[in-house]
Amino acid sequence: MKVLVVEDSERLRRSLQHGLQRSGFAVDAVGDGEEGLAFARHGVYDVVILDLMLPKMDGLTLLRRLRASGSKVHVLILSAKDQVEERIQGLQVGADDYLTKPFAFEELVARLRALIRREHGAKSPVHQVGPLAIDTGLRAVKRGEEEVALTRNEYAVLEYLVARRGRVVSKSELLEHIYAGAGHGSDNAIEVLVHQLRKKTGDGDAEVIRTRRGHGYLVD
Amino acid sequence: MHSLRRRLILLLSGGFAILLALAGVDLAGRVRERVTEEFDEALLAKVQALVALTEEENGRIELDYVPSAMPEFERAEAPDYFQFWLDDGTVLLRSRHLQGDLPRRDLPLDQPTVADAPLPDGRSGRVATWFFLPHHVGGPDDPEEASAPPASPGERRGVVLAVGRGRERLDRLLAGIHAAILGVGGGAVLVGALFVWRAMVSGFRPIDAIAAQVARLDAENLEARIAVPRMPRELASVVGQMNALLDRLHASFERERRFTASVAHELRTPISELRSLAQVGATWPKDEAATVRYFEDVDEIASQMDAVIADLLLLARCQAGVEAVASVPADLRELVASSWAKLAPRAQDRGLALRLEMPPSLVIASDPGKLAIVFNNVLGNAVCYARPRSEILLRGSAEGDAFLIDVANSADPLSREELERLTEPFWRKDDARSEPGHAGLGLSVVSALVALLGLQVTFDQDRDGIFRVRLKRGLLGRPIPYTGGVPPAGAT
Repeated sequence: MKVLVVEDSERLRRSLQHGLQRSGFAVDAVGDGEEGLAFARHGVYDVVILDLMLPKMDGLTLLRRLRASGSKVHVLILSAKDQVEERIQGLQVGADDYLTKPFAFEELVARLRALIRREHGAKSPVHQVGPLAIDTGLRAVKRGEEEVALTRNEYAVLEYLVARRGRVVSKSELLEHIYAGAGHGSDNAIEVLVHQLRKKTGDGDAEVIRTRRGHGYLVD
Repeated sequence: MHSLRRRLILLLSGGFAILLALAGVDLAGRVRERVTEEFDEALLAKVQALVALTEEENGRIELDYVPSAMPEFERAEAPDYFQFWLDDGTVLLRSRHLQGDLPRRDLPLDQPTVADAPLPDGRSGRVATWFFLPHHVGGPDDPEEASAPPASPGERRGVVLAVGRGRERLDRLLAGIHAAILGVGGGAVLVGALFVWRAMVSGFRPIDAIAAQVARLDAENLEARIAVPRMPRELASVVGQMNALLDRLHASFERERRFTASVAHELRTPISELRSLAQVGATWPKDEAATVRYFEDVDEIASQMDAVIADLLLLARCQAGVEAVASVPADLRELVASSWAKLAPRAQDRGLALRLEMPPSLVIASDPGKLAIVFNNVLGNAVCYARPRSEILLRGSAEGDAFLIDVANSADPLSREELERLTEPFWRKDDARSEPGHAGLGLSVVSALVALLGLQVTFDQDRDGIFRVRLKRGLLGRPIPYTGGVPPAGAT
């Protein structure tokens, strides 16, 4: 899952980026409103974490322009403005969620996951795919009663495919969502990740992840 | 608490009543005098008529009295009376109904008088008395009326005539006039009091309206202003002052709200950073490089919060008047150089240069520690907001105890309102407040310290975008001339 962080505090931006990456998200992070709008318009993100008091362009203006351009990306406002009117205004302009500073990092991650689940119409964090039970809340995968140990990127690929169940996902799309920014990873890296996933989940028998040659991968 | 309205009504009505009472008493006295005069004139006319009818002939005193011509002496009920005496007191004649004597007074010849006196029938009355010499005639024409014996030949005898008249009619008339004056006066007092009350109600209506509007004011609606239709001129200035006070209160509350919101933001942001750093660091402690960086960030955040708190405490101490001020020799050039030395790395990064136009030694008596804070903030502000690759011009001059320091640099345009808010705590032109290490307290601290040091500071920006801070004490004989100001960005 890929997240854009638009936050002017460099220290907060850096810790968010690091923490979210360690939580399994691909993260782009920018420090002002104009750059944030450019990234949000041209990148493919599951969620945008948006501060309101930003240099060059404030968060609400960014959000208005983003919605005016037709973007449906989930936006979570992360702001020190905590008044009810300010929260209502943020939600009315087009935010999907509002979290006030200071915040608990775990709560931020939980809200991000809830937003992503909502995007794919899932109410429960646990997805049953063949013999596999994928818990996106705990970021855990089980085969029957046995836990399957996956690396961060392996889990990210599986979660992304499960979230788009029944739809073919291209390698480039996977690349975009697993690795933030340009120049990270390649098609080959995705192939290796999928190979490792199949091996660890015992996919040889049940074939949870199917390959559509020339198109990508699919989870039924 | 006494009521101004009640007091005014009582005072005005009371004053009006007293005036009317005095006027009434005066009027009653005058009327009484005039009516009594007329009564007495009528009585004297009667006396005069009787005197005219009295003759002396051959030493005999005769009265040509015709009863039908003077019925007032003849009526049975409440008659008038007359009585004649000779100068020796012998009664010559009484009117028909007079039982007893009228009071006889010894008077000079032909000087009649009228006085109150009880009448023989018990009534109170007025009695006119005249001592006169009857006119002399040749012989008697009405022997029935002759009443006095003849006097000695060649001797004329004086006669005293008294005419008495009951004063019941006079008293009734006077009582009626007094009652009328009292009634009209009382009514006038009542009408006057009513008029005063109405005038007070009407006059105080704008005050009541103002009081009602003031009562509705509270901290939540300080933007409301007092407005009364048909405002009396006397209240306009009071209302104007009250509205001006409301303007100041509103502005003060707004500043307070902004201050509170700014403090909250200035605290929330570093706390958010600290919580995020702590939680991410604690969740993945094995990432040593990141953890070290987090600790560095925590240290930096603590330093910034410490600086903010130090500035806030200094502001609070200055505003409370408990910050001690020294007065020792302070070399302004040295202080400027010291401040610039701290700012030089940042200035170099931004391509800024300082042009110093000051005497080699410019020593004044002041508090060097506080002046250093002032220069740190003024020059720090210039380094932060001057356009890149421009020059900061600092000019200084002193004469005796007076001095003047001007700091000028190019800057983004500031509106008049922004210039006025420069010294407001936490105010920054950038709403995002994203400039690290700047909480927006620097010029607030400058303003507070300058006031404490007995200096003056002004901020302005000219049409070319040159922002100037002027610090001064006293008046210099020669002002520092401006010779073109600061070169624009990129010129150096």
